[in-house]
Formats: sequence, structure tokens, C-alpha cells
Amino acid sequence: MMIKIVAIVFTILTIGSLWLTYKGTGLQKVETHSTLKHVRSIHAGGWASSSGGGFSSGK
Amino acid sequence: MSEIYAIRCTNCGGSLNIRGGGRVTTVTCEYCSSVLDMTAEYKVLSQFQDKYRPTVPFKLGMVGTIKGVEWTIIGWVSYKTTDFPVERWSEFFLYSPLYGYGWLIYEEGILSFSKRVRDFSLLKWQKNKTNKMPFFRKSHYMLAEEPYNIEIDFVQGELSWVAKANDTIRCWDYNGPNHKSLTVEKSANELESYLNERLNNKEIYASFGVKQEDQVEEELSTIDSLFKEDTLEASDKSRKSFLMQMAILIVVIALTIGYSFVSSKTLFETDTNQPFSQLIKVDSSAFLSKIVIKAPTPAILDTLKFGIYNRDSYVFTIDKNSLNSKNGNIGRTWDRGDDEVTIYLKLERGEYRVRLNMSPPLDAYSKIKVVIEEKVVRLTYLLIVLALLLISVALSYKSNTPNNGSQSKSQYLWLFFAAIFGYVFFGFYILLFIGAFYMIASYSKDAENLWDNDDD
Repeated sequence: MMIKIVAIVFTILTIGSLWLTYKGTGLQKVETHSTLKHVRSIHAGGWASSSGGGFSSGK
Repeated sequence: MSEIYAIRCTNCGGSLNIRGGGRVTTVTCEYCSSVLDMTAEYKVLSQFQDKYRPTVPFKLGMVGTIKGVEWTIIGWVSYKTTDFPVERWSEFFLYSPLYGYGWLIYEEGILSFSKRVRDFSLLKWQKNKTNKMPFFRKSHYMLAEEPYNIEIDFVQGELSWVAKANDTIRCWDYNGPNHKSLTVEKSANELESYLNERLNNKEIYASFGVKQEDQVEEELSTIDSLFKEDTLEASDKSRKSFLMQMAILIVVIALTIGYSFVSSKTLFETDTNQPFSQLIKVDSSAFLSKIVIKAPTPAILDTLKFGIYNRDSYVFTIDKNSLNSKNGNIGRTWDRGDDEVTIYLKLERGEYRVRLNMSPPLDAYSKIKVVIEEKVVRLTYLLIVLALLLISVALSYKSNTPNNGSQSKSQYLWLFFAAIFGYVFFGFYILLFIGAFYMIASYSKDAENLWDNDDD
């Protein structure tokens, strides 16, 4: 019985998510991106991970 | 099959067949119900006369196969609980020359196989009787009900111990995975543990040659049938059907994921340093439209004002200070330092005007890239559902994998996952191939057009 309920729930979930995906409900979004911030974070990561520290101005 | 020899009952002279091996110590006469001691010249040890004889589908001497081993029924003990409500069941003593002894338990149409286990630590169990979840062979077992007392109701045939009418046995039943249970039995002289496993009625009846009219199936009231655990057959069937349904759902999601790689269509694309006003036509209301605006620097992005309009009014506008959407709240505008913005927007089928303004105007070398696509599939929901589906399938396999470690089942599990991932990635590469084919086809078409133009 339990297994049937789980199967039904998953079927509803799948159909529901397909429908929401098709309609785009809740998926509208504005995403922003900064190349500069990304570059900075790469440099920060590179500096932090380098052994012995030292100067790394990123220039 | 075990060897048979016949003796005469020392009490009534009735003919008794002896089928069991060396550990059999008593035989109960089926005519006078005297328990005869096989170790002391068949002396009468006790009597079960005037006892209730249950109606059962099995009888002594029947031979059948349980779990791949041939067993002969050599003895029969019927038990009843001492407390109200009185429950009765029969246990048939089985003998196999190669595998020793076991029990076939019959209770109102339910059949189980039981075998004494010696690797369950009774010493540990005795020390901690209050533990309701003993651990045995990599599985937890849970106390099914409070311990109860039983006594022998009826005996026939051979046994490896002396059955006495008034002997009381105290039992602890623990339910485990895969229709298994563990029983600890404590009598005056012994403490023993048994591992029980539910059997498929049809198979056992057929194997022991039980006539159709004698076969008894479990009878459930309407209420009981709602709450009772599925029978072995039904649970196997429902498990298969569950896995089949899950597989279909996973394939549907995988197909959608595959489709998402080829579904989108570019409506408009430009690399400009000039303001523009462009008419676009959205052909389908399905899924989302995606607008990407990429500026060379954050300062240039801050000079932009982008908008999508239909005949009546704006649908969406964005600049560094504000974001307005007819579709409700879909987020906020970019921050200082951002140089790219991606907008996922629901645009119904129809014509729209796209406008990009900039103040102040850009120099000749700074280009703004704007790309507008339709039918973009965002997989957020589907990936979550897919993860849940895979987890549930994995759990379903794990809970049904025998604890002794069936290699084939775990192999199936890995094959299943490999098939899913293989499908997704293989499907992905096919789609890449199709995409590449279309790209080459469109380039060659452009090239052809170019040649045609040259000819002109």
C-alpha cells in the first residue's frame, strides 16, 4: 500500500514539475554576473592556495 | 529423500513410519497419540489423547522443496497461546539428510520456514532482554508484540525432543526486513532462537503436492486487508510495478533534460554600440524566454535601459535603478560591479518590441551583446524530482536486497544507474551531434548563399 502511495506521489510530482517547467511558473528570474568579481575571486583563491603566501597583486 | 523404516507402537501396536535422522528422539503414534522414546526401546513417555486435532493441508511423509532444498515432513506439533485470545498454529518438523532439520509453520493460510540459528547471541540477548531492537546478520529486528506463552496442543510423528502436554514455552517475536522474523523460545530446559521467513503459498502447496481443495489461503476481513502487509506475491508484484513506474518517470525526465539542449531558438542577437528598437516574434508560449545583456564593463552596463513591450504597454524594463515586470516579482536589478544580466521571462506567443537605450552614447569600440532566445527549459524542478526518484529507487533496492548480499541484485542496481547516466550522457552526445549537424548545415547554406550572391 505504502509503495503505491509513494509511486502516486512521485507521478504527481513529476507531472507537476513538468507542467510548472512548461508554464515557467516560479522559474522567471534575473541573474546578474560580474566578470570583475569573478576575476577577483579567482585571484583571491590563487593567492590563498599558494604555498608560503607572498605577494600576489594580481597584476 | 530420507530413508523409511517401520516400527510397531509399544502402546497400541499401530504401524509407525520412521523417516528422521539421528537426532530424532521421540515418535508420537498417530493412532493412540503416545509419545514413544526412541532412545529407550520406545517406552511411552507421555500421551496427547483427547487433544484437539487441527485441520491442516499437510501430513506426515509429504516431500517438497523449500528454498531449493528437499524436505520431508516427519513430525507435527500444534501450539496454542495460553492467554486470551487463544491462537493456534501448526509447525511441521522437516528433515533433509543433507541439511538437517527445519520447520514449516502453518497459521491460517500463512506459511513460513523456520530454522534454528546459532549465530544469534542468546547470552547477549539474555543480558539485555529489554532491548526491543536486536541486531542480527546486518539487520535490525523489532519486537513485534509483548512476549507471550504457548503450550503444545497436539503432536504427531517424530521430534528431536520430548513433547509434553503441559510444557509452557515463552516466546519473543521480532520482525525484520524482507518478511523475516526472529523468534526466541524459552522453555524449562532450553533457550533457542529461530529465523523465520515467509513463503509463497502457491509454490509450497504445489511442491508438497497439496490438493487444490486442501489449499488454504490467508483470509482477511475488509478492515484487516486495508492495514495488513501485502502477501509475498503481491509485494513482489507491487515492487516490480513501482520500479517500472519510477523507470518511466526517470525516462520522461531524462527525455525532457535531453530536449532542453535543443529546444531553445535564438530570436534576436546583436553586438552593438547603438540604441536600437527591434521587433521580435515569439512563436511559442512554451517554457521561458531568455535575454542576455552583456556589457564590456560595469560602468557601461549602468548606462543601459532595456525594455520589452507589447502593443499595449511594457512587459519588462530594467536599468541600474529599477526593474519593472508585468509578470510580478522576478528579482531585482543588477548591482554595482556587475557587467552581465540574464533574464528568464515568460513571454506569451506574439510580437514584441525590444528597446535598448544608453545614456550617454557609447564610443565606437564598446559593444553591448544582446541575445534573446525562446523555449528555454529551466530544469530546477525536474532535477530535484529526478534526484528524489533516484534516491527512492536506490532505497527500494537497498531494502529488498537480501542481507546475505545477493551480488546479482547489487549488480542490477549499478547497471540501472549506469543505464540512466549512460542514457542521459549518450542522449546528450546525440543531441550535440544533431546540433553540430544543423550548425554545419546552416553554415554551408550561408556559404551557398554567399556563392550565389557572388554569382549575381
